[in-house]
Amino acid sequence: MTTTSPGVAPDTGTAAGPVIECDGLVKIFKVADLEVVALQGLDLIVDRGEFVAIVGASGSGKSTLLSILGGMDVPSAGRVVVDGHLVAEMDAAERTGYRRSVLGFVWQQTARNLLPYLSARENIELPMLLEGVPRKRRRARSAELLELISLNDRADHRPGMLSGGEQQRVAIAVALANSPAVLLADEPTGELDTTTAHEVFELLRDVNRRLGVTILVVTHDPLVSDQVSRTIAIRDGRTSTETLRRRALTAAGDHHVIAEEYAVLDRVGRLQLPRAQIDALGLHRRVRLVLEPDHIEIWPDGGEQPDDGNGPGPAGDPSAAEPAPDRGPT
Amino acid sequence: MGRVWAAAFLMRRLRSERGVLVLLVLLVAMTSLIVAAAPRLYNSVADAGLRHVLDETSAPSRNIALTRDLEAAPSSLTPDALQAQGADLVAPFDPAIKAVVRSQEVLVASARFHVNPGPKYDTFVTLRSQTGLDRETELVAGRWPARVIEQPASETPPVIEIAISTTTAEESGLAVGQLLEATPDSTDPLAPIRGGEVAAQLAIVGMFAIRDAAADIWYADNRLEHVGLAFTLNEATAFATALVAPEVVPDLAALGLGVHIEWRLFLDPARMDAGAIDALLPALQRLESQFGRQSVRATDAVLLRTDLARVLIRYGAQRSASDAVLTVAAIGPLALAAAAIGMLAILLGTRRRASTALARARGASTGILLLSQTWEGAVFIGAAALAGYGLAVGLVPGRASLTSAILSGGIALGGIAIFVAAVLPALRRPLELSARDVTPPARLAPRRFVLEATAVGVSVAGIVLLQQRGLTIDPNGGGLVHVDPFLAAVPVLAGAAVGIVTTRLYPIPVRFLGWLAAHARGIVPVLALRHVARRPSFAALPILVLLATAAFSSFALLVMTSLDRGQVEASWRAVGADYRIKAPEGRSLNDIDPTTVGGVEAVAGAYELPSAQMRLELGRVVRVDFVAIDAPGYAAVAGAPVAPSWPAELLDGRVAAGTPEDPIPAILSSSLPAGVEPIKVGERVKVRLGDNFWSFRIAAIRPEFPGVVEAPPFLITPIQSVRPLSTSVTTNRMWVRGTAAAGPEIADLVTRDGPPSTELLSRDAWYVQLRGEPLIQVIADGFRLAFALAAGYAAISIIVALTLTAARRSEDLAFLRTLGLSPRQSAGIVVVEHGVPILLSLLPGLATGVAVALLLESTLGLDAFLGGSTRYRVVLDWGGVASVAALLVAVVAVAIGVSTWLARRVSLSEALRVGEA
Repeated sequence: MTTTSPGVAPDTGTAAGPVIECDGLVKIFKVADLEVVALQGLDLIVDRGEFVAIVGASGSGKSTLLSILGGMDVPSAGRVVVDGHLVAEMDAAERTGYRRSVLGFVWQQTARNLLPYLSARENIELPMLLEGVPRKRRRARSAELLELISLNDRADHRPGMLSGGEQQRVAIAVALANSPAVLLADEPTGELDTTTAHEVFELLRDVNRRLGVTILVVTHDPLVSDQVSRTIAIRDGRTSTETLRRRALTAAGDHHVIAEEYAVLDRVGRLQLPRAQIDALGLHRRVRLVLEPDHIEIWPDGGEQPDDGNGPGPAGDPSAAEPAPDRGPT
Repeated sequence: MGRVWAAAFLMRRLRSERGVLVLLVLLVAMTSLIVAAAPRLYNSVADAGLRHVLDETSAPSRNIALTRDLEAAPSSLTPDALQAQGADLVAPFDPAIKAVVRSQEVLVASARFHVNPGPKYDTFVTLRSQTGLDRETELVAGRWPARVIEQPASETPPVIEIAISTTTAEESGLAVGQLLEATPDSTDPLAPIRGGEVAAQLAIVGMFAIRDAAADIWYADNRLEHVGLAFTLNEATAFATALVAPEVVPDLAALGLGVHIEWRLFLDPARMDAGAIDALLPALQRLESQFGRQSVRATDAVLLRTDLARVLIRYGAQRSASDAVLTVAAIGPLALAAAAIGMLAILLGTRRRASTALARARGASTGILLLSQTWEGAVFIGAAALAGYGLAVGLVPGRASLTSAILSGGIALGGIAIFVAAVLPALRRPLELSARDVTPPARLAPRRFVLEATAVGVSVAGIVLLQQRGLTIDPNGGGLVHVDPFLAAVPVLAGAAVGIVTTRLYPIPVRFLGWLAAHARGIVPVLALRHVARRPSFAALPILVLLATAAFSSFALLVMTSLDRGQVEASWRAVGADYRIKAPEGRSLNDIDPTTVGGVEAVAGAYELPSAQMRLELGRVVRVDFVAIDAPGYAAVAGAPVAPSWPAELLDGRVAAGTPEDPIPAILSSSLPAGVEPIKVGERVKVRLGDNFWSFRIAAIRPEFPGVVEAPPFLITPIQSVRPLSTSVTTNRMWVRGTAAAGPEIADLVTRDGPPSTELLSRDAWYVQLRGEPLIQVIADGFRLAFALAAGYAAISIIVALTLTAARRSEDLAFLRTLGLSPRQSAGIVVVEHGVPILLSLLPGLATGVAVALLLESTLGLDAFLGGSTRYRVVLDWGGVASVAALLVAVVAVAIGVSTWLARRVSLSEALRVGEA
């Protein structure tokens, strides 16, 4: 599906090879006597420098995915590679170092991103201190990041003295302290008002653009997801669709954004059809696939067989259908 | 190094988290102060106990004397020569002994002389020269004796000037100015057998008074003050002692008679402390092996006369017993102190959980976080423990003790370990759960079950071992016992074991109560009891603490009460009535009538003849303590705890003749000297009274007769039958029943109308004196202090435990309040949730304490603190136990009140955002 909209041009990012590769990720939680399968063989590839939004309904598995990518949880099965690190095979000590140097994390709750007893500058310096960065470099880097987030004058304020938006900006700076390859953000604007959310998001875009940090944002906010170059929808523990946005020029020379929704094809050829499309055509149980020279057609089970050039017949009347010519495997 | 800096960086959390940490620091400091002060205070008590024991011991026992009986050359008996000989004898003494010697005096005594004339009695006089009497005597007539330079003609016996005491003069009839012919008494080993020729003339030139007959210098020998009188049917003989000048001693040797020399070393109790005993005792024992003991007179050998080593061993045994019992008392509050410190550390760890999770998420390793926690613990808890120790050293009087430093160090290390351990759950909690703010489900892990079962098993084993072995072990068999720390902890372990079982079982009655509540009106009990029943771990911590406190408190109360009752019983055993009057040997109390004193309700008299000859049916003669007593009178004055039962025939007042046909009924002790066949009821014995043996029939056999006789073997019989048998049978013992106010008047009566040296003993005074003995008083004081500390620490632990649980519950209660629950109902839920399980644990706790006290009745070694032969028995003071229960309920009520107040300080909106903020 393709949509076109004028306005803010989405980031195209700098594609330079995958920085995140998830292959058949499975995560099963055991809560009391129940087993919950949060991820059911999720595949994901994110290229270096991309700005990606992950969307999905509650319980779809997006927070679980973020936990695994963040090294806070271990998948039950599957392969995860982040910036060349095999996350699933790391021990606890390796994951600690991974969280310190490869990743940055921003949570939704502003108060959970910062240690309340440290100032903004000290919160930014903490990851560098843990990494063993010398004091001089820490100072310089924290000054640089404070400049980036435009909070030089609030450097010595503790989180209790900062607004929600300022806290999130500091949280972003903290996440960037050790120049991570990837920045993960879990609903970073969830607690903010529209204006502040916009400011924070702009900062993230700025960070992506200027520093080339790959950013993965989990969000419910369509304002966020509509402004990234790529939105991945997760449904039932798997990636279902991706929406790619690109800038194009109209005939009149105006910029507009074209959003194209794709169904994600996993490596064994499975894909999830969008729910709306399934419901619209009444698809259920099985469908017929028809291979054309340049596309594959999907027909409801029992619908009229396509002929050469007459297009597909009406769906749902099996008695009216003529036997379909054998055009290939179904 | 980077890790160290990172760990230090994380300590900046102290900028905002101070309250709980300050509480923790104060608690550690206070605990360290208490554990450091206790050994110092106990050292003071131990030293006071040693001085008390020494004060109660006679001078000859607690000092050291070297004696020598010899026929010596006059030149070796000059004052300077005697001093030099003494110095030579003392020179090789161990420095530990020399360090406690205050002064050294010399006494020289001559052989006994028979003097003529003897004014009142046939009189024998011993001449004595003694140094150190300048301040102890006062010349009241004549002058001090000197050496007579110009002696009469050679055929005339030499004149020796003497002085006598005023009491000697009064008792013997001797007076200043008399000249007595002195003939050596051939029965004295110091006087060689010779004819009855006069050896010297004794000129009484002076009379002196003795300032303080009880002073140490006299060495418990009153012969210089008093005359010893020996009475037979026909005559009386007086034995007197007189002072001569030191320069006269060589002249005594010149008479050809032997002399008795005694170098007396007076030890200074102020220089002796309980800590010095370890060096002093072996030195004394070496001394004893170096010199022979003065038990048999041996001419010319230097013999040792002291009982100090045995006194110190007895003291050491009592002190060890006191150590052992106090260790039991101390472990209870120590365990509760650890619980209180642990609770505060857990509270602090809980409050830091979110920031700990964030630091982990930012890449802080477990090592860095542990290092930070350890560093913080070392700085604050270590400093607090050191401050407590310093305060104890600076403020608490008492001898320094290594135990203080060890205990304070233990508090520091233990506190730091607990502090670090409190952060472990946050470090072990999966990060993804922290991120989702989910509490992992609580399950009874097999490991925990095994640990709990092991704890219960260990405490059961401890109880069994303690019953079998007792609290102390005596590895060397010398009476110096050591306490086994594991066994001393048994009461606390038992409380903990019962606590563990109670935390598993208490949901059963709670569920039943919840079922009952569901049938009644009111939502508060239903909500509260269902919550407790479905989440039993909710109240586990307060239950454990309260149960251990209740167990220890009831145990301590019963020990204190039983000790007190035992001491009261011991006082009745020792005295026999409110007052006991005892005449000196050979004297009577016939002139004393206590019934004339206001407040005296009854009097009973008796005649006691120690070491009376008792002839058995087979002809063997044994020595017994013979007491002829006014039995009905004594039954009226005796006290309830030890009131003996009398055979009816001793109470009927019948006068038996004491002949084989009409023997006098008597009570015989079951314990007789070794080798004597047991005597049965109905058999007859004969006792010598005066010059004759009289017949007695055994009417009853008893193992003891407390209050009347101290120890077997004894024979007790009614006085009305014995009095006619001999004129020597007079009343020389009296028991008086009277009020405390009558005491001073009775004392005046005894002093005025009784013979000299009559002993008046008050049961109250005996009881007070017993309890006043430092090592006995410290037991009661120690248990009282332990009880107070246990209650205090328990209160802190319970408040903190309830604060922890209230914090977790505040979100649930806030949610209920959004549904319409009122603040009062919310508070009611807190009260019921905490109060019901805690009160359910109170009963098992109290029962455990009572059970432990009963189980360990014979193994705590408390007999040593009752005096005499009284056995320690547990007295079930239910009123006291109820008071303990009431006190603990009050503590719990305060704790619930405080935690409820703290919880209500959190607003509804804040409570509902817990997990999001």
